[in-house]
Amino acid sequence: MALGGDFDEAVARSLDAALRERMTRTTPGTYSVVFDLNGLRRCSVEGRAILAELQRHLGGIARRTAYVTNRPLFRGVALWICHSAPDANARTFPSTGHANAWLESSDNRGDVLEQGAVQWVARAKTLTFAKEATP
Amino acid sequence: MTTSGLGFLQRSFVSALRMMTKMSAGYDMRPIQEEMVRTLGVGGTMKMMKLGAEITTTLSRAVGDYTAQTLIAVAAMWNGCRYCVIGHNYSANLFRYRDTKTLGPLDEEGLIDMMMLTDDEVLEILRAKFAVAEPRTWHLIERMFQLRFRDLHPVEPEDQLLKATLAYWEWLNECTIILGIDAKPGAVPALGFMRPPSSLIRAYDEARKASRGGRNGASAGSGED
Repeated sequence: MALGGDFDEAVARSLDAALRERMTRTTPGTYSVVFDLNGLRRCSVEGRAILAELQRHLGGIARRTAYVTNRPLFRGVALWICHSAPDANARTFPSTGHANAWLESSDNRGDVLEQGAVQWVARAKTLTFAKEATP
Repeated sequence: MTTSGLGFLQRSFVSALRMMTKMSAGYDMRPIQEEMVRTLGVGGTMKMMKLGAEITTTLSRAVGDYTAQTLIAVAAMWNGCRYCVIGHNYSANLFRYRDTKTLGPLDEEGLIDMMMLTDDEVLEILRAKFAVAEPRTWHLIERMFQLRFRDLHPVEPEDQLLKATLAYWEWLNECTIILGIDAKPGAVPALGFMRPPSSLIRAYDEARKASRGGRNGASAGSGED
């Protein structure tokens, strides 16, 4: 599902209706949904709120959801949507390549992020560095 | 439970956290601390805050306060959290101004416009601002980019530190995004600088405004209505 240009309330409502209709014909837990946001240039407050509601709905019927965008600002919007829904099976990615492994797995997003942080911070604490002067 | 979704003990815990943050850092983080408890519970929040203190201390010890805060701002940028990007960059600039009386290369007012660009375009801006002026900081920013987007396998000791920074802020931004979605320069405290003196803030703000000259620093086309 590719979203582009200005994503306002009207566009969001149209997408919401179309996707809900399409997903009613599928068996819950069968399909994953990928939102390609690379063409997005603006997302209104109303538009993102409707997407969060849609994501809440998708959380009950889609196997996984991935939001793909190569722009940091819209990864923030997508993160807010996943968090607000809330849907532990939805996550943002910078590319479809990065999203593929997630779509094939079944781990909870929060657990994956927590385990990554715990593991890497534990490793970092054991490192020794010569302190550098600030510029 | 209340409309905040928190029970009595959880609200008491948040109140204690708020008080500690106000005393140690000088600002209020109520919405984020409430969101942490709502999302992770009391135990998970304590774990998140402990890890945050550990990675910040380790990073600062390794590369100094200014570079540490710059790297944290960049790590948060890749997640799209405006609150952390602005707040940690502001801290970096305050540390730098305190120590050298010079302005850092990233003006808070330009950050949201930068986040509208693609990751590769952002990297090119960072290269232009850091590569010559601060080659050591640039090396770390560039390695961080490779670790985040190009699946670079951590080989240098510093790579592991950068990976830890990326991993921690990706987890933390799950909660900070509730403010990070709409945060604007001027409305975010210096995150990571414990109680900066008001004289330092005033001097930095005046120097930064003067550097902007007649140019309006307001973000245009920030991607949201």
